[in-house]
Amino acid sequence: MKQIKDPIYEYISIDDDYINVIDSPEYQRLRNVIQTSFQSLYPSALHNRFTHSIGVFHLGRKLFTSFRENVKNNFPCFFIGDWDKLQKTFLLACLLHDVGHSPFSHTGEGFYKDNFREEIHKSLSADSELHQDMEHGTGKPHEAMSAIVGLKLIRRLGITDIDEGLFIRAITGVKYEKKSAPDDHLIENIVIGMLNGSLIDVDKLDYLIRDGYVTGFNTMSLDVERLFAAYTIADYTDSSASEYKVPAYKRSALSVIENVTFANDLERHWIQNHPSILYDARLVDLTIASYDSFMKRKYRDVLTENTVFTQTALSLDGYIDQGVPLSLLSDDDIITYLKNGEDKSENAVLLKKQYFGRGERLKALWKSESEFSHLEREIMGSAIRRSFKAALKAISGHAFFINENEMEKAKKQKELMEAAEQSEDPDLKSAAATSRRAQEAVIRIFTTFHQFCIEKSLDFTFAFIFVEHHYESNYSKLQNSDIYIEFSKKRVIPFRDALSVTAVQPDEDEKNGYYYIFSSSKNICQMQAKNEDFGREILRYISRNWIT
Amino acid sequence: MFTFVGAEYIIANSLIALKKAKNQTNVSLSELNKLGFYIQQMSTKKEVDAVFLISQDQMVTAACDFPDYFEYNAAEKTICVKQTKQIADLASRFVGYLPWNVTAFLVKTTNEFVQSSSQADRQRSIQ
Repeated sequence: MKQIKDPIYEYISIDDDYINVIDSPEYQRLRNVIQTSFQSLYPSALHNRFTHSIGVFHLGRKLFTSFRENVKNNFPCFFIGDWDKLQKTFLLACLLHDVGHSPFSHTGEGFYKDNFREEIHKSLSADSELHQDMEHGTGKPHEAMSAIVGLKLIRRLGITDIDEGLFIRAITGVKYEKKSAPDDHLIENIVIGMLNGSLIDVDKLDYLIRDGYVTGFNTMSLDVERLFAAYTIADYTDSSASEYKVPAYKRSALSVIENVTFANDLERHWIQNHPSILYDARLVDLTIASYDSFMKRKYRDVLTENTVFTQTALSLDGYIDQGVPLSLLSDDDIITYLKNGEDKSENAVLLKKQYFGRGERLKALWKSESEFSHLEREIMGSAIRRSFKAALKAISGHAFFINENEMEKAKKQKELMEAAEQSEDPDLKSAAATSRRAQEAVIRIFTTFHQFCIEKSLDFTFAFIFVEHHYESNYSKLQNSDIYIEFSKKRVIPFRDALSVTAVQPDEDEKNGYYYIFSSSKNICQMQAKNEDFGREILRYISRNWIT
Repeated sequence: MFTFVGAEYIIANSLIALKKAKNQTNVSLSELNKLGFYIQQMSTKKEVDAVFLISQDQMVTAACDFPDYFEYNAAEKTICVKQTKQIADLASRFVGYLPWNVTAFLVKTTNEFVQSSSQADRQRSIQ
């Protein structure tokens, strides 16, 4: 048994069974995978997935222990399976739930090209039920990768006294679907939800607590002891008088459930969606794409899967023996690529300047969704708001900077589309015509900004980030969740019926998302010197000149 | 810069191709899963430099992010065209707005996939 000192939980005890897992190179790699993208705004947010995963393990053990005790005390004959095996499987899943995570953010997982369902089926060919249940998906890509890498690690370490299918399910969140009775696999599905739930699970709880502590952001205090002590199963009778058991919290947990919801809201609203953090995250996304593109061009004969984001790249051996300097892929690889300047492409040079030179970065013209919403409503009519927003949203997948260079590229794209309209293939011909019309709207975005700069004598230097969702409280998720509250043995109700607060629904316009516009410090200073509100002026200009 | 192709493009292009090939106006997550993987394989083969966001999670999120165009049925795990929209509306919005080589690739590859799965369905029904 080892004791690990943690600033949040004091001491975390690790049994010998789990020490070998933590000591493995696959797990140690997580020391070099940062947990959040918040450090551009909160410089102390340097915690990594290594400490987070150990925190999840610690909370998972506490939660499972409480749950097991509650079920055994209240329903001693209900679960006839092996509690110890269940616990070990679950705790290994908690420890390894991020072991396949790509460097930095979740962007990297867009590069994973594995057929996860088939990979998992190859490893667990006897488990046809799992294969069937994965028909509609295998969880998020980083979850599926973690399940595969984690399973290989467990087998290599000779850990055999676990349920491998449940291990995969707990990490990927794929529940048992087939039931001959309502209570079939109830305990297993609850255990899966403990790590991979829609609202409350040990993964979310640890990162909410840890992110708040490390950033210094004043968030809610979460009484996890109270929450875990209240988790159990309860007898429920639905509206058609069917009786079955459901996962439930005793009423003592109500306040904590609300606090968890608020804490999640605070982090999403004021940290994750801050423009500085979004800008930094965008640079990282583009850098990862640039790194992947560079590596697969340079080592195309070895990286035959046409990406660096492979299981091999995450392993200790990696591609070293094949002459490619790549193993235990982590944040350092991306940073080193950017720093060493071997990639002389225009994109890489620009990204290097922006990533390392904070002064080079463009600055947001408004600092919050609230400020933007107020400006937008004040200045733009609803038709223009919708039309301009739709155009920005449409190009947000591949456009970031708005400048002369990008405007010329957009015009060249239109020429390609015009040429393709002469194609003999009717599908391509039709697609080219539609694309060309869409591209005209794209070019209008650039020319609108360009004209604004000419009018105001500014440098044509902008960027934008589109945010898909206006802020919506997780209270709306609570209203639709499958959480139950046990007020008494005879009064078990869905949580939505116990809510005393309802979430305000965003209006139709707000559901279409919002955006930040960024410009250079030089432009911002020039506008300030003229006593002009840059954000207001640009939106006014768009409002006057945008054709819907 | 680099192109990230959102799941909404995969969904829309699959619905357009299905309507044309089979007069079908919905697509299951399972079919989208297979299509997504096929698109990834072909993009590697044809060296199309774009990142396709194809996980189930991204498909469901995309369907919910574009409620004007799609409806997601959680019970049946299918996505269909919103009743107030036509296939032509999907084409106006989701065929285009990407670099031309990516659009052309996506249209061709989706059509190929749908046509070959239609042929497979027909052969199965004959047998």
